[in-house]
Amino acid sequence: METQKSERRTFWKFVVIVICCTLVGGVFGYSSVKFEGSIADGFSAFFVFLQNWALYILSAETVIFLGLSLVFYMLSRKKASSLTDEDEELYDEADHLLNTSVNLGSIYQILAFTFFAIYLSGSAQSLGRDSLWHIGIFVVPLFANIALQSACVKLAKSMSPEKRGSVYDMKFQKEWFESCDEAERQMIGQAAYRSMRTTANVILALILVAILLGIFGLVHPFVPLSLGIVWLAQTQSYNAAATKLEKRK
Amino acid sequence: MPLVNHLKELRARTGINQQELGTAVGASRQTISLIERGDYNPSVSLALKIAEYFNVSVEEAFALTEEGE
Repeated sequence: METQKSERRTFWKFVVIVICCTLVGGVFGYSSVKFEGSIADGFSAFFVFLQNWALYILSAETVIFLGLSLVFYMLSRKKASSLTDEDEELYDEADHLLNTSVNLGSIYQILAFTFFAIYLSGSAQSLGRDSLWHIGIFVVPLFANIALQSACVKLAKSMSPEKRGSVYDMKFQKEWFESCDEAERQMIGQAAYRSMRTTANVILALILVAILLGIFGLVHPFVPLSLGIVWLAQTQSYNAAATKLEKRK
Repeated sequence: MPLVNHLKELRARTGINQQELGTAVGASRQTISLIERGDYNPSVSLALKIAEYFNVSVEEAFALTEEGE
């Protein structure tokens, strides 16, 4: 009885979503015909704005995220240096601060690559002497981030001596995973599953946006192509790993 | 049914810390901490290793309890 109720609720939820999507699609389709010029101009202006400001955004995000990553690393190191065998809660606090530092470093890195690519897309034809400085703005903090990540790993190793791997090694993630125990591997598995689901939703949303923007000729074929490659890589690597694990059972 | 454990008491009795127990049973300090807090149920092999380390039966280290007990 409860299952039937839940199935009915799910069905009506699905119907509402379909109606909403149809309405949004209708509004967008109508607007695309009615305001074709202004919508296309609006998006073009936004993309040009991004290209013009990409370097400034890159600099700002470098200061914010890389700076915060350094702050959290220092806080974690301070906590870790005062650890004694009895401070088991302090260990967890130091660990949490270190994880935050690594996460902020990874946000910095992803945004840096994204905005540098956007910057280049707007200035590739006009690369001059200034471009060296611009490339420096991207590259120098990147090396600083690698050094910081390496320091984080070193600190993590001092708190968990069983951990292995160096960030300078291409096999770092594999080696680190292999040095994790059953609970940590389970956590990584659960986190990877959550990440897989989130990424699938984000890719789907972006493909829909790319289709809508395609109506105005605002999307370079590389965008849907790269999204498709990421989507395929994600689903196929998941399926391949699942099949392999199933066979091992 | 939730799993309760007596790792903290067993550790206190033997005078070892989480890191030392972790090293002895092939787990990390964080995992021992998670088990003690009841946030992680160890595998059978890890539970057996822990019991063996303390020289007690698995039931003395871990036990299932009724909800709300």
